[in-house]
Order: sequence, then structure tokens, then C-alpha cells
Amino acid sequence: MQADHCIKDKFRMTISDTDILFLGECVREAARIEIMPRFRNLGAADVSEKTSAIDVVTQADLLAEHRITAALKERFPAALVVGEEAYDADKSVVPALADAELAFVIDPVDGTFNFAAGFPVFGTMLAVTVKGETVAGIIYDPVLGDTVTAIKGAGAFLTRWDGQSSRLKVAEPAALNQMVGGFSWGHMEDPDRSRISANMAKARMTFAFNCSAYEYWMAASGKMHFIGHAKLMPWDHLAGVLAHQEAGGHTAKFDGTPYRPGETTGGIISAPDKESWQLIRREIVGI
Amino acid sequence: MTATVNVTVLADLLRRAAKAEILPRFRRLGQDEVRAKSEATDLVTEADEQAERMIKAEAERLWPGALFVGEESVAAEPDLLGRLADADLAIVVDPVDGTFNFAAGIPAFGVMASVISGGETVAGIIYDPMGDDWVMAEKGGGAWLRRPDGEARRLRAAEPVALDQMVGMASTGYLPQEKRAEILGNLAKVRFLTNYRCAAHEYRTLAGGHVHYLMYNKLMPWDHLAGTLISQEAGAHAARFDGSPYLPHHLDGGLLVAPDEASWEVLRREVVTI
Repeated sequence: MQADHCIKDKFRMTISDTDILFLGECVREAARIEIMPRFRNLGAADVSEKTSAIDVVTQADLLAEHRITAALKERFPAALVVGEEAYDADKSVVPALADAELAFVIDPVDGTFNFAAGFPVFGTMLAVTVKGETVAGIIYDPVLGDTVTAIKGAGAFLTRWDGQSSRLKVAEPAALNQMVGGFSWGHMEDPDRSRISANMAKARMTFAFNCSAYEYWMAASGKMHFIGHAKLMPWDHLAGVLAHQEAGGHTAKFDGTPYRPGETTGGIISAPDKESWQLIRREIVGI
Repeated sequence: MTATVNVTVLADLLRRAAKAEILPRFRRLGQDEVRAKSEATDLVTEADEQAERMIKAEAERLWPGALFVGEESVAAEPDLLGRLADADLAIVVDPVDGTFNFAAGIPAFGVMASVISGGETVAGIIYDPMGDDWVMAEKGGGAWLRRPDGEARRLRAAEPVALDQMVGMASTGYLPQEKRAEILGNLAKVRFLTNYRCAAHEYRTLAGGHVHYLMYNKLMPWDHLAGTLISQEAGAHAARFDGSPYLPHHLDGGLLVAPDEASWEVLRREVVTI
């Protein structure tokens, strides 16, 4: 009890409720100005739809990251800001998350494949880490205008475009053949990928949206029982994992250890509780 | 008797039904509006029923000689399906394709219609209520993305690539359990798998050249007739698993869509091991 209280105070000193509101605004503004105007906006008719769409999503991604980074640097000049572009320029920013005093991790357009295909399932994510621990996460859906906000120790909430807010809760545990799940094995090698793909036949229903923003939102709100990923880039997972944990779920790497900022290997499973997690680990991952 | 259906008028009718009956109910579903059909996840919503009612009433007024076949109408009158094979003119409608997504608040659903004449599909329309645009095709006229402001863009399916570079969607839920695991295992041979649980968006994505293949096992006409014609008009090769053309009266035999016949053969051999 006492320890919990201390942890909360430690975070509060670094990031306040007002800061959280600021972060939400920051993400929504970037989506409004840089992302949504480019969605399904194909430009010149002499370029093939696919080629043009890929250029457009790259632009949306880049410009939204610039905008969010600039806003964060202004308010938190000492903070480390990590996004895909920052990482491309300097790979050391990711391991630096393990002990950075205060860091922000941005994924401006998560689900770029969908965005480019004109499929309205993508998200904008932002995670806040303090000394190697995720303390807040935001997942914004630019199409629907919904924001998932997770604060360590305080829960995960969905706020709709009209201001209605509700607390998120993961699904009740169920037998595997009753579960709805998804597993991104696209970055795995064989034999793991074909085994995991085949094992997904044990679930009742599978989704493959290729968008971790949506997958974590669905898992945190009980619309999916489990999700699994092999590739752990921090911008894809930190905000979502916190949201899932704060909604009552259990997330851990394949070896059972917690997933922490700065880590990029090991694979990860999110499930309603520890027992379901072990079931997925055994029956789906099966390593 | 009206011998043809004006496709632009039908496309506009789908849009009007979506605006009147579907979009106002999206993310506002009450518990009583969703009830189980064949299984808990096969949801039919009020949106589905009301949209079909509106489309049917207008279609029967505009094209009195056409047979109207919708998912809800068939649930009430199963004989309708059998009459599709030899109807002179028929309109097949799926008012809300992707009902699971719709009910879960996921913005991935669509409204689809096809026109059947003399036992074959002559037009297909997929309307996206969230994006407010259509992908559509008339036999022989190419596949088009159309917007309400009149903008139109011709669609082309993806160029063929090697199996390990392919991206696509496979619906395995209706396969027998042991085949399901086998085919899912085979699918690890492609680059990666997506699955939107909404045929409307899956066909739209294929016709735009963003994915290479689609695979389905259960063939209800409202789910596949429009999309198959649109895919073919975008240059893709579509056939049942035995290689035969997919026709309006087919309910089984599987369906595989690929960039060309050679890619189709590769997928058939390496993935669809049925």
C-alpha cells in the first residue's frame, strides 16, 4: 500500500493530469491536420492507386511525427522523444528508453498498410515512460474520434468524440475454442510461423487487422481475448500493453517475463488473465 | 417489364439506405438490437433488416420485373435462392456486410449489391458507408472507385509476385476443423495474412491492388457476386477451387481470387490443399 503510494507520487511529479490532457490534444491535433486529410486522398490520377497511397501514408507518418515531436519538445525540453523516424536517424534512442528519466514514444500512423489500402482501421499512439516504466499511454482512432487513455495504477478509459467516457475491461476468460484472437506471425521465421498459424485454428474466430492500435483497443475492451506479436518495436506496443494491463489483462513476453521499454526481442502475448496467457503460450505459440 | 437495372441509381440507393438506416445505428446498438442467428458471433442488427427493407421496397418500385434476393429476405423465404439460377433479372443485396465488425463498433463494414441477368453477374457495387464511396463494375467496363462528387478512378488488381511475397486474406472459419489447421499452416508460406472479417472491404482492397489474393469457402451470393465481378474487371483471376467459374447459383466449392491464372494455380497447389 505504502509502496504503491510512493510509485504514484513519483510519476505524478513527472507527469500530471494536465499533461495527460495536453498529450491527448497533441495527438488529436496531429491526426486532424496531418493524417486525416491524406486518408483516401490519392492525388494525381496518372499514378497507380497503390503507389500513390504509399507515398501519401509516408508523408502523413513523417509530418505527424514532426508535429507531435515539436509540441513535446516545447513542453518537456529535457525529455527523450522516440518515433520511427527518430530511430532511423539514431538507433540508440530505443535502448535509451530503459532508463530515460522521461521519454515519449510516438507511432503517428500505426497500421500504415491499412491506411495505404484505404481501410479505415489505423491509429495514432503515444506512450510516456519514466525510468524504464510505462506510466501513461494514449491510443487515438482518427476515423472514429475515440481516445483510449491508460494511466498506470488508475485504469484505462475510452473517451468518445462526444466526450462520453467509459472504463475498459478485458474479456472474461474462456475455453480456447471460444476465444477470439489474433497473432501477427508475419515477422517470424519457420517453423514458428507455420506452427502458430496452424494453431490459430483452435480459436473460435481470428482477426488479422495488422494494426496494433486496434488490436490493443479490442483486447483491452473485451472484443478479443488474446493477441500475440513477434516483433517488439516500442511504438507499436508500449501504450497498448499498459492499456491492456490497466483493463485487467495479463501481458508478458513468451518467456513469461514482463515487457519493458527499450526491449525489442522476445515476442509478446496479451490475454485476459495469467491462466489464459499460459494456455495461449502452450496451445498457440507452442515453443 | 424492365429488362435492365440502372447501376448508378442502384448505387445511389445503397448510399441512401446506409445514411438512413445504417450509419445512425453504428455504435449506438442496444443489447436488444443484436440477436444471435446461427451462432453467437453471427449478428443481425436492426440496421441490417431496416436497410434491406428500404432497398427492397425501392428496388421493387424501380425495377418491378427483377427478382430481389437479400440476406434477410432469404432468411424469411429460403426458396428465393434457388430462383436465382434462372431469373431473367435479379438484384442481390447484402445490406450490412461485416455485421460482427458493425456490432463491435469497428468501422469496417459495407453495403453490397449485384445485378444478375441470364444466370451471370453483370454488375457489382460495394458501398463503404464510413468512407462514402463505391467500388463498382459493370461486365466488360472495368472496375472503378467512385465518389459522390463524381470523381472516378479505374482500379487495377496487383501485379503477380512470388508466393512468399504475397499478402492476402483467407476466410477459414467455415472449413472443417482439420482442414482449417492445415490451410492456416500453409498460409505461413505467404508474406503475411490479413483478415478484415468483411468481404466488402476485402474485395475493395484486392481490386485496388493492395493485396494479392482472397480465399473463401462459404459462398452466399450476397457476400461474393459483386466482389468477384469487381475483382475480375480489375484484372484478377477468380475461380472455384476446381477451376470452374463462380456463378450466381453456387453456394459451395470455394472461391480463390489471384492476380492471374498462374498465381491462382500456385495458391491452389501450395495453400488451398483441399
